Amino acid sequence: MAQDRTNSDEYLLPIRRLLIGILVFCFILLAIVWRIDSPRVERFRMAVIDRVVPNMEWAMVPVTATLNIVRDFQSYARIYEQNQELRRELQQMKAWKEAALQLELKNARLLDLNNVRLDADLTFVTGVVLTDSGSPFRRSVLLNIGARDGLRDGQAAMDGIGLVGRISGIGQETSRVLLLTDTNSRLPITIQPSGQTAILFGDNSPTPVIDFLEKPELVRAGDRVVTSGDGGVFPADLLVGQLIESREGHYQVRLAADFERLAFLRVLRGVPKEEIDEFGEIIIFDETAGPDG
Amino acid sequence: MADQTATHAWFMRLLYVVACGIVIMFHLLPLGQVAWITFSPDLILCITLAWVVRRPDYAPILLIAGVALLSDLLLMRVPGLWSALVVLLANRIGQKRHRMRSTGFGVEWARVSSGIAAIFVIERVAMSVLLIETPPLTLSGAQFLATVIVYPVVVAVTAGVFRVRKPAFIDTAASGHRI
Repeated sequence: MAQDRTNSDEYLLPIRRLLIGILVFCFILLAIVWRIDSPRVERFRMAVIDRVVPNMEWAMVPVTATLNIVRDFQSYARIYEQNQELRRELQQMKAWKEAALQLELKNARLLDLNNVRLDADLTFVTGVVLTDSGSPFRRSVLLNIGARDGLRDGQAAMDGIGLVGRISGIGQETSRVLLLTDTNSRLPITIQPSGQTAILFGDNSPTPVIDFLEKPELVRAGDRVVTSGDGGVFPADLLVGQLIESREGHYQVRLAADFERLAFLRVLRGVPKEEIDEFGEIIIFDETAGPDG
Repeated sequence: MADQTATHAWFMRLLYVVACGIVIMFHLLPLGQVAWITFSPDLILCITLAWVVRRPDYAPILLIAGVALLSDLLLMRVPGLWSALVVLLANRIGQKRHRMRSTGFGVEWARVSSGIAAIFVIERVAMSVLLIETPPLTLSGAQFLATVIVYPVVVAVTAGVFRVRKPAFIDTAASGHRI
């Protein structure tokens, strides 16, 4: 059959081509602008997410709950063993709770004795995880707290036990947390008890790798890994996880936080510290004099 | 079905947007690091192409562009790059759909698969040119295969559930000219 184009089709075709050309040009321009000036476009992206996602929450919550029930169903088969395991853990926890209370009392007494003032600005605000990142290559989650709750870029986010990530992207009502497992995540850490500092690199796997370790012979699998507070970006001494050694001998960290079930996250709000950028007039530079004085 | 009212057309467009919205929502569900996410097919692309081959008036190009841009922003991709390629592919497949009207599904599948392969390749090339980190080739290849394999299922759902089928010879669109 002949090409079934009517007269109106031929009339519309150039307009259609123009429209598509403009659309494609605008999209490619957006991609290039993203490449050049990423923060601006990312702010735009956060603004769009800020508007769209909270409205989808009412649909996502029941679906998530149902899927979680289906996942938990599989563990119902071992319910008896789980019960026994939980009882044993509970006993252990009770013993630790006693020890912690004793230590806290002792600590308070000693601090009081020395008149030490602790950092009072490690307050936190708790938020609920709304969504995942939606992409297999970017590990991040969206929280339902944002700029209006006092959040700022770079603050630390923890779940009940360990560090989860940092805030990178803020909207008015939502914010994005870049998880420690994302490939862009770098964290300065300290390995206890040897006190060595290193850097934790995320690599999209559940166990991030450690690099820049000066003396690997001083660390062992099972050592506690905490943040070191280097650079003043994160508070120090937040629990990150445990050191493990992979089969090839690389050191990785098994994270203490439960990344499979992120529900409530605590964001630690810290006030930026005063920067010291003067000499305090100890060393006086004589700019008018020559090299002879 | 010689008589399509304008409200029916708008209802079907809304249905397209809702279907894509549900797909985006499933991608955003906070289920932790689920293994199937890595190989998940690009369902929005499949839905778009299935609709464009059958009834392009139910998926106008502006709507496709809008949905593609939204999915780019929400799913943390490079904003604009994938949307541009989707718009180009949807337009091209839409133009060529007259040839696929009488031939079987196999030809349509082949054309759509080659189109999807082309935009996957062009996206990787564009990302290398712009010096953006590309995901590993095996992962992209797996996603492409998953998309191609899922396409017949999407077509079956489109034809059966949404009743978006290739129009008969005498069908007219709401605006009066032949589809």
